[in-house]
Amino acid sequence: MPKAMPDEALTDVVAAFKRADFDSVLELVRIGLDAGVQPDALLNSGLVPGIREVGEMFRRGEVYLPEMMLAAEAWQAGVDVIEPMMAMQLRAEAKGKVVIGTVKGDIHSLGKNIVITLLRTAGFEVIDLGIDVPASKFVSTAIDTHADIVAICALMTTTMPQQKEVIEHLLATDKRRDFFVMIGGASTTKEWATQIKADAHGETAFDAVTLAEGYIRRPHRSSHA
Amino acid sequence: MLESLEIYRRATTGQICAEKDFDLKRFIPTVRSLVKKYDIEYDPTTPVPSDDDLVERVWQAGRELFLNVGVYCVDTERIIMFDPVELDQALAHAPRPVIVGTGQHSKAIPVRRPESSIPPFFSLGACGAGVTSDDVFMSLTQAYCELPYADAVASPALTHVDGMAIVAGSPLEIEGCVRTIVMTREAARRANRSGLGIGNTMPTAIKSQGHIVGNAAAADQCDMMEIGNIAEFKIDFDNLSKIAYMEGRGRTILGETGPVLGGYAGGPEGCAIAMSGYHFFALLVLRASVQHPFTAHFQTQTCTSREAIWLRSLSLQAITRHSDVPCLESGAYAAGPATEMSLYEAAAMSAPCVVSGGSVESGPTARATHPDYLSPMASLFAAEVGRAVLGLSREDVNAIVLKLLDRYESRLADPPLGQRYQDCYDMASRQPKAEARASYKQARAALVEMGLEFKDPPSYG
Repeated sequence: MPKAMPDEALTDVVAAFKRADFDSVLELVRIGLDAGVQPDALLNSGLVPGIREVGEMFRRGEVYLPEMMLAAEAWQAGVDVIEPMMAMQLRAEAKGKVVIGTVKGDIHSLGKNIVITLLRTAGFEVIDLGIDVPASKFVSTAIDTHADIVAICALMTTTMPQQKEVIEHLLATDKRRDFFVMIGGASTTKEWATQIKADAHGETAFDAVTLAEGYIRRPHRSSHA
Repeated sequence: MLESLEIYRRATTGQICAEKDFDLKRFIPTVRSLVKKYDIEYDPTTPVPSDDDLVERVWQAGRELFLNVGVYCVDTERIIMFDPVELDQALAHAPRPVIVGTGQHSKAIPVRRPESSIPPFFSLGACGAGVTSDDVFMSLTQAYCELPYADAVASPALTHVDGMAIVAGSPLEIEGCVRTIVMTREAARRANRSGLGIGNTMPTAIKSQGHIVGNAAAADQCDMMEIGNIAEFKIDFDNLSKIAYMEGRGRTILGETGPVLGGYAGGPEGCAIAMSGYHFFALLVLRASVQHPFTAHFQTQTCTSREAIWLRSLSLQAITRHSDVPCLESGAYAAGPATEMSLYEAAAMSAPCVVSGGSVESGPTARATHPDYLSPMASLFAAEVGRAVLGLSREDVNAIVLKLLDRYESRLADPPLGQRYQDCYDMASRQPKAEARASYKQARAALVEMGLEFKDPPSYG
């Protein structure tokens, strides 16, 4: 039987996240495992609170995107080591599946990448279609992967019409009601979202997570369209 | 100086690297290590720094960042690298001087140093922010051209053609680009300033075909075309194509370099280093004759926060101390037209820019994200303030900026939207209505109270 979990192993992991010492996270996870700490405890009481701590610091403006991205990488590296050791029933299930991309004609990726980082660390599975994505690609990927949410990014006023195009492509199938469609980008507004029949508009990257979590919590979540 | 074809050659033969690895294993760690190595620390009490040693360290760190990280070509997934001699050659042999406009309305963009007494160049306009119709475009752009201190006009972008929304890459983008430059030229003519240079010839364009067709249609030799980085230290073939066209035609490139505050470069310290390093990106990759620094916060898209002012002033000082290539700094104001706040923001961007050795492109209101929410008054006020701070020290300007921040900083997260141009201006006379005039009067009086001595009489009674 594994040894009882020393509290220090868990607090060390969380502390490494808090002081932005992301390079040491994986090593601390391995030290914890060697010391007999249960994998699920390392995940739920080490990596998860650690990444959440960085997420909160990011939300408060105390750290910036590099710290958030490095924290997410460290978190993923730790999860990759721990999950194969966990019993199937204990493995964390994704909260939901999100297909995300920047629309055709638009090559801006920063905002999208921030949303992806926040969604992943909040427990969502995210399929990143990248930039300059045709409307049909959003639709076919969402259908093929049985996604819950389609997130459509556009930065420019001249690329916003492509958000409408994606939704019209979805409407052209009989699958529109299968997906929660949220849009975002510097020039987009709530009014624009309503006009193009999106389900929600995220003003910030944090909004995107709140909206996604809100949708997933809905009891009958496929009846949004 | 390196030929642009050599940049292309390196883009197709350089080290292969996944984009994520470039960001996470190369750019981000290098910036973080340089912040520590050069001991760069943000000081909120001096949004306009006057520590020359700090300025020097930022310059060195920026140069080291560019040399160590290189430039990523997203189409080839390769890294373009440079050596120190090539950077020195770029500084020594960059084209200058830069003349914008023709005839009696032509003007050189001056080489300025921190605390220079040489008057800056003012490119005034909407700077690529969107307008929804030809009517608004014409009246608004003529109003910008009529501003007394405009050395060039920075055009708005059209969002619609005959009521149809312009879609990037579509034929409407081509038509929108042609209309943009033709109407800007016509607006200058109607303002009796036919030779006024256009500071950003193709704001409606997203794709290279729009840029090229629009410029071929009506751009003059003495206009400037804005071409920018696509993400931190990244370029793509579409932008390299724009550059190839402009170089082939012997045109002037305004090299926009915009590290995102809070983005891959991190906080104000990392962004200051990146902006400094971007000078070489502008010269060598964008083939720019003028650097066009710009930064906005990644969440709020705010350009006038305390951190943004600090990093811009610091990096601008670093660049202008070392380079004879002029910088035309740009940024949007968070508040909308006919608000006092937008004028305080205009002052808080213009004054540090001028005292840090830059020239001013000013500037869209309402974060440049709400079509038609644009104000020639904000640009005029930026120029009046920029002229007033000539001869002041960085410490003097810092004191004024601190007072300006007191006036608007707490409202940056939720700034007033103000009114559309067609609502706060008379479209026919292109003059501001009473509410907008009142905001001007109050802001000007407030600046005087802060100790600023305007050199020009009030533009509005």
